[in-house]
Amino acid sequence: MLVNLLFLILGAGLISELVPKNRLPVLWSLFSSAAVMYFLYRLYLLGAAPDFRLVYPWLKIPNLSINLEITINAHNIYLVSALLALAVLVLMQNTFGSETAKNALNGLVLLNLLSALMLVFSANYIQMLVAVGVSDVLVFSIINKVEAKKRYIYANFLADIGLVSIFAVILGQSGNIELRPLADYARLGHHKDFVAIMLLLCIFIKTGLFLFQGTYTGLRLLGFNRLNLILFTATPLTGYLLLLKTESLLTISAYSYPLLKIFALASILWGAYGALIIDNLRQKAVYFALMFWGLVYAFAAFGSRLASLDFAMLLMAAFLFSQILLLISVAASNENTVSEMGGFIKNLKFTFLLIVAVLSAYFSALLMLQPDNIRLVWGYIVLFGLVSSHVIGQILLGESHADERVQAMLHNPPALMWLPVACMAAGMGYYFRIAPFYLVPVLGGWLLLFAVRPLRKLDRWYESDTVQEADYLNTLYELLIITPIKVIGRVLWLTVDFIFIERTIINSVQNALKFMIFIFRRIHSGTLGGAILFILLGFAVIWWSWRYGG
Amino acid sequence: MENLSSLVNAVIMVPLLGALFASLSREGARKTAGNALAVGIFTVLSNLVVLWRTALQVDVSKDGWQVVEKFNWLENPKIELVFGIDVFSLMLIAAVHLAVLLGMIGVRHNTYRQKALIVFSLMFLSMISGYFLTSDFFSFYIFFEAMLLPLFMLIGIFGDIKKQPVLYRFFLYNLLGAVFLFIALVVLYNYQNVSIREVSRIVLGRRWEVLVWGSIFIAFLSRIPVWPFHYWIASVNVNISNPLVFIIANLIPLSGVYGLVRFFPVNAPEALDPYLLVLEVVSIVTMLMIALIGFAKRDIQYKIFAYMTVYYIMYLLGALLPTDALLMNIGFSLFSYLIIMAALEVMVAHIDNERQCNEISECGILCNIRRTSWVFSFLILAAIGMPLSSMFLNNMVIFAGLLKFNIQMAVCILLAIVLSSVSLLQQLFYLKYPPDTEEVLPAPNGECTAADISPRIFAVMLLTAALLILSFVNPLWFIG
Repeated sequence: MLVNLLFLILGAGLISELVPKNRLPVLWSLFSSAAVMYFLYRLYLLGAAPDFRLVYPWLKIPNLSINLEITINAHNIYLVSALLALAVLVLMQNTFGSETAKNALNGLVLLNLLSALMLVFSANYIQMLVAVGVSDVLVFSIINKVEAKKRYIYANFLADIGLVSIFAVILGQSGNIELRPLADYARLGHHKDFVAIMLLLCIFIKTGLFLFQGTYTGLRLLGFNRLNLILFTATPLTGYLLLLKTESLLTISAYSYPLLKIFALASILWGAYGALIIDNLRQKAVYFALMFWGLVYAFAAFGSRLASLDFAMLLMAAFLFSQILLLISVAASNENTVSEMGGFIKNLKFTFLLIVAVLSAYFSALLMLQPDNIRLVWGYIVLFGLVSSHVIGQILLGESHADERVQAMLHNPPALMWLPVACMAAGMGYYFRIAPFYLVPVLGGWLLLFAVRPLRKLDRWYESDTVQEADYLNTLYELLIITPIKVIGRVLWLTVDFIFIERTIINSVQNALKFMIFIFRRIHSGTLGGAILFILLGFAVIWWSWRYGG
Repeated sequence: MENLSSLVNAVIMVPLLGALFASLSREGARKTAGNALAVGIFTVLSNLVVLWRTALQVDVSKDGWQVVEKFNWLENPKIELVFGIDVFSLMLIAAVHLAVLLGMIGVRHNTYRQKALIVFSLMFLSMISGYFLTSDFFSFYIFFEAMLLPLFMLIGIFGDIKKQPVLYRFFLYNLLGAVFLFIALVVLYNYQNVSIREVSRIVLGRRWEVLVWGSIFIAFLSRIPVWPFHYWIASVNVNISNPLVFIIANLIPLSGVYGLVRFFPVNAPEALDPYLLVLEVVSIVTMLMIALIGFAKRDIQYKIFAYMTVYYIMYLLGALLPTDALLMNIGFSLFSYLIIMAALEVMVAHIDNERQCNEISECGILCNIRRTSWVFSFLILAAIGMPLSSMFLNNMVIFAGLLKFNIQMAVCILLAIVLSSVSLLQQLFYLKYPPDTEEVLPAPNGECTAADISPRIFAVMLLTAALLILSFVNPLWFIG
């Protein structure tokens, strides 16, 4: 039955792609949502500890025999359910938002969901790599701005080729494609540091952690719905799932965990910095996502990997928070410059209540993780609370800097847009109905910070063009990698191809041929010298045959 | 059930018959301009059906060459023509046919000397199919040389203004290859007349061994863009704008790779080890050099050439590993690789044509032609190794073999692959860039006046994309 449902989602995705642009988008969208919700319902019927496994022999090519595996068990059921729930939310948001290519995008959402599920189910690294690659192609299609596409595909192509190389090393040495025996690599394999570090770097690129966040900050040109879809259900998630699948490989190198810790903590801090300093609301959403992924990786780095349920809850809560930013943008007629907002609370009272509900869900999800790593959880709660209260405060409180048009059109977002968010927040609230003991003081603290805005002095950074437009990593990348490669390439073409081959070898052969032709012409010209030369040559041949001919 | 030997003969003969029919077709009047092209397309499609029937007869589970026909031609000297087939040859012949078919579709509006173009293309197709099917020294040499004749004519007719120096280089390098192969085959034939597959049985003296195998090396390398032989192929590529001729010219290195694959037995003589090492080093240096030059150049033809070179050399190095276990993977990968490159060249020709007709810049030309842009993006993503064709999994297996053999060498190959792939991506974004973000506008008034590919061509390209995806799901899908 579950397999049929996967096929149903695939079919719905392909049909949505093929249906002409925006033809009956609500109908197609409702049909797609219904399919996903039915899947969710079937999962619910399986209970909390299901045991479903299907192995389908997919492909047998020389040196490689690949099975396609679908497994649903207690370890992944919550994650699968969360992915399905997020897909429903995104489908709803696309349908009732200002999206221009609704059917096509909904099709991509479904296909992306399928590739994420195949990644979750994978038991061999070929299925895993195929799911990652397919997800990249789908996200490449979801991104509808050329500049953002460019950044995305360069980074992810490099990560993909890195992943393929790592698993080619493993395949070459073990001949096995199963993920479970990867732990044995520590005993059997070679180039262990190379494999572990390369794997981590590829995962960091995919998730867009610190130093690699440029891929996602470039997505600020996209619509908010596409941005949120990518940030929480596509490539960054793929990176984290890769980490979960290959975690046993990290133990083979002493550098893995220190590297993971450094990048995770740096991501949280850099995310907080970006969310505070950068003026663009979509870019802020990217930095909030960076903070979230940093936290998730920090759990893995400090040895308390998140359980399926905890991660599912956290993922949904973080997504809802990003959806809140989307709703604010919609309410402000797609205004994205935070410095040109302020004082919106008068018109957005309901939205403010929604923000509080979503934050309750977020903090509850975080507080549930306390036993795993208390310092990390509380540190993150304080930092996130400080940053989010500052940003929301900038938008809702104080004096309005919005232009007249935005101010005149300012009202709560349409019900069809906030309803799915509210439903999910309510659902999470119901799940956390016995609220963790600390939730009320945490929420109270957040409201206090929101009202006081202790970081309000940072607002002046919005006026600095240097800070807002700075793209240090891209400049560094251009300067250190691209330009030298281009110079070397040009020098090689000039010296090797042009001067050495064209001007030296080919011209020499050409001149030698010309010279020989000239000589033969001369000796065939009937002169006495020519005749003597031929007679002498004839005698030489006769002598050589007599001497060596045997 | 058909006889396999008659099917194999038909694979060689059908394009020759097609060439004959095409040469008899009328040319000149507007209505008859497409006759030769129609004959050409029909011939290639017919031969693909023949190939499919052949594939159904071949036992794909059986590894290795299956001899299907022996024909005694002369008693003194004893010359026996031997034909056979295996999955590797089958995949290559199918890929070459599909590549030429795409090229023919790409030149449908180009009426300049279309009859000559189709006749010589079909001749080439017949010769290269024969080359992949033959198994004896004599016919191998004949087909090896004969496939150059149509290409020489095609470059002569369709080359750009610099075609004379190009033809000169073409002749010079291939003459060198022909002479060396001739010497090697004569010596081998004098020792023992065996099939190519059994060449390792021949025991040569150490001096002769080096001479013969060295000659074979040089002969096949003259066809592969390994330094310094890369130069003639590069000059052919950048001086040809006709997509069909470009595709055919880029199939020539395949004959070099195939020759080395067939001649180099797993148990190559030990005396060759130092030379093999030299070949590997030169190959890797060439890969890196051409990838770097491709990265620096703006010309898309050169970028495609750089990409093709890097992959051809990777397949060559995979084939030269001391195992023949990767042969099928190389065949499956080459199948998609050749089709992708052919389709890409057809799209490049369309863009180039639009650019010239409308006197616009290349930059941002794809921004308003959605079908072309979609197809172009798909092909580039498939080319760089996304899971959209059989290249993805098979390249991984080949790469695993290379890494196991020598990790330093494999890392250099990886670097070259990354550079050549990134340069293709660079070109994609250069063509896609919206005009308002670049200084150079696609047209003087800022509007994109380029025309999109027709729905028919788009349908063909969609079919090609489907074929590539099918080859990813199962490379032998056509035999179930």
